[in-house]
Amino acid sequence: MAANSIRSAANGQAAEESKTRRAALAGNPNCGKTTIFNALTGLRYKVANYPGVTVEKKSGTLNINSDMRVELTDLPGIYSFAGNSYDEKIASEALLGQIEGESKPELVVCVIDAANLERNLYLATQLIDLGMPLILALNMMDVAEERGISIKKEILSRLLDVPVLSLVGSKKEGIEQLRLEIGSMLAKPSLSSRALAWVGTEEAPLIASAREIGAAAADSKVLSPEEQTVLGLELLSDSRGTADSSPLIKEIESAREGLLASGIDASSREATARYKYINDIVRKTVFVDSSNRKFVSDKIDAIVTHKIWGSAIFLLIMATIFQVIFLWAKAPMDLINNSFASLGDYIGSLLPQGKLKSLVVDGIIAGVGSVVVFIPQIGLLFFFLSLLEDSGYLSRAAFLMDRVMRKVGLQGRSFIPLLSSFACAIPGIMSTRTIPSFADRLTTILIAPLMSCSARLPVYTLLIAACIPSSYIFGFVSLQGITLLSMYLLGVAGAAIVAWILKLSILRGEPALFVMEMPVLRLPSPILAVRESLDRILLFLKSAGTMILACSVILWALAAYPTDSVKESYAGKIGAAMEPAIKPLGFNWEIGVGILASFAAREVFISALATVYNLESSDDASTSVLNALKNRMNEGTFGIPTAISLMVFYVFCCQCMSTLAICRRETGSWRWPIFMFVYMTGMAYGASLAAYRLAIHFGL
Amino acid sequence: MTLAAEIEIKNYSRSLGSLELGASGVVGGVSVKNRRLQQKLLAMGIVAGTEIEVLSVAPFGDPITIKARGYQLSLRRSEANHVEILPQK
Repeated sequence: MAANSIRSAANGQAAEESKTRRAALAGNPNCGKTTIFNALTGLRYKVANYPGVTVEKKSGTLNINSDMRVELTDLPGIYSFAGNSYDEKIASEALLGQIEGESKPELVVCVIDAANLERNLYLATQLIDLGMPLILALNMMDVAEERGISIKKEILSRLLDVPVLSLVGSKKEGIEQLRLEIGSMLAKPSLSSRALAWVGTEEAPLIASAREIGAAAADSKVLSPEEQTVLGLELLSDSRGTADSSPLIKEIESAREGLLASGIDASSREATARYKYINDIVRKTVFVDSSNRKFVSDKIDAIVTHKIWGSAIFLLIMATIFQVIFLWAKAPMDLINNSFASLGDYIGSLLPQGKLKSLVVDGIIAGVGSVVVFIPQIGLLFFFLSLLEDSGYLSRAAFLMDRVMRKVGLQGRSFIPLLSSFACAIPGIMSTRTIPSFADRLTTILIAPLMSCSARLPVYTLLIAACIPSSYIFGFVSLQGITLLSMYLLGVAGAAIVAWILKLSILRGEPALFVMEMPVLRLPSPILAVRESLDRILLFLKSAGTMILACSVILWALAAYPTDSVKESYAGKIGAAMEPAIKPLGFNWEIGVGILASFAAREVFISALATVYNLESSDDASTSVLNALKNRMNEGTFGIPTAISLMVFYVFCCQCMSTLAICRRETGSWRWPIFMFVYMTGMAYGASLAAYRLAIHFGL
Repeated sequence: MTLAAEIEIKNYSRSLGSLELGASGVVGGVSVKNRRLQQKLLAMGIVAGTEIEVLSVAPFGDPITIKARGYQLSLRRSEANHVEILPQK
């Protein structure tokens, strides 16, 4: 670690020579940090992951003048410098320069929600204690003014001894001044003289202990005396991050006992004293126009969080978004599918008959198509999710759904990712980033693919149309409709059971905290939403795209070698080899090949079946497969039990390489996608077997 | 939680979790029983002396939203039970 720090310090010097300086944006969640980051860096930023963890790292370039370029990092939003969540750990390590390959920022811009100065100053005063050059950016001044809040920023600047700027990030107001201030602060850094200003005479013993503990804990890390004190304070209030048996823990405990003897509760004294100090500052700088105005946003808020109205509005919003994603995504998805098919035909016509043509058309072009086809759903879903998050409604939704989700050991924040997974598990899994607890997030990721996605729908409808009689129960309940609904409900029930088991077994642990800020409701920015959905699309293409392409080439090769005839190919041989294993489910080798091929994407099952049945290639694979299945029904070679078993198999199976690819990216290792594939396949097998046996038992 | 003196699990006469919609009060302290929750609430401004008001209650009575330090915070009743509310004068 020491060697790394020295190396990164050397990197920092090298960077200084080439005139690239480093600054970081810190701030509470919901303070509008991202808007400011986007405005400062324009389109010149990139999204990556911090090494080894799944916390996102955004960095971009800010040009101050011809002599100075700044590499600006957008740190994860945090409420406190101390703390044990992934986001908090990463942000504090980044601020202390302890992330491998990254030098310490030379300047921190602390973005503050102006309408919420009191709580936001908590982090700001911690950053002052750390002894690093700091600029306070009071953001969302328009919202604050609307609420009758005026802030005397000159007084604030004097009291905290740091530059204070006011901004409206969404309207790009104050961005230019911030850019100039960053430049002049970097050219001539100055430190606030108000470090540890919250410490009164009563807190003197606390600080003395913190210095000792901090120095002991710093060990080999390169930390300044100020940083050591902050670290010491953190350990005194909460040492869960440290191993229990270490001598350091003993030292911390005896320090706590000593402090308690002099009347100081080490776990809460810092926070209490800091807030007292902040209260004083706020009293001198913030003036609220107390003319008894009721704000529109408060009235709306009272309705959207109301027990009855809130739930009704929630259902309406969710149903609308869900419908829109299904309907709006369909046209571009069809267009993409058709374009890639025509492209394949066109390029195919230019190439000579043979393996090369087959590779290009059926392997590469079809593979690229199967990646690109996800773009409409990912883009649309993230557009709406970003609007919901930006407006503050996302936390209201989590608030309303918490009680329901808790039944299976999850929490309100898991609801929207799971709902999204009914459209497609990929954006669903990508949207779990709003869940701070890793165990809850992982559980949500692992059960997301059990929600019946839009790719299963063609499989369900084909099998239902082919095998389920179009009769009515009680004269009005469609048997086909009931069957389709049952498949969706079966997936949800399976997900609930798996979540419950996971939270009782491998993901057991301290229950996650729900405590969540409810930001003021406001009009969301469509520009930010477009930007967010573009980011997500790029991320998907970059991280999952290559893998999906590789998989589809492998699947092509299995079908194309050693001969083109399906039965003779490796795919056919694997299907035949699988037959004894899948026979108990009512499947033959043909269905086996279909299932294997549908690893590319579940709906591929239909076209694969068309190939296996050796059907005349027609424009519509699903019509010809439907007829073929109906013929087999009449011949008695394909029955209702097999159809039900196959549908149940598709409810639970993980035949989707894209889901596995995105699961790897979001969990940071292969362990979880492998686990996902194994448990889902096992579940699919068991459930299919049971469904097949039951169907035969009841004489279907 | 090895420090004996820290295990002062108070049986609060009145906790934030027991407050009804619209009720208000002043925080007396946050229990150290759940260290992670305590640290989180302290950082978010729920310290001794903070004035709070219950703004809304979710369907089935849980979680709740409170107003504190000019912003809104939502938490489960089980979490709110760790916050002591001082008796009114």
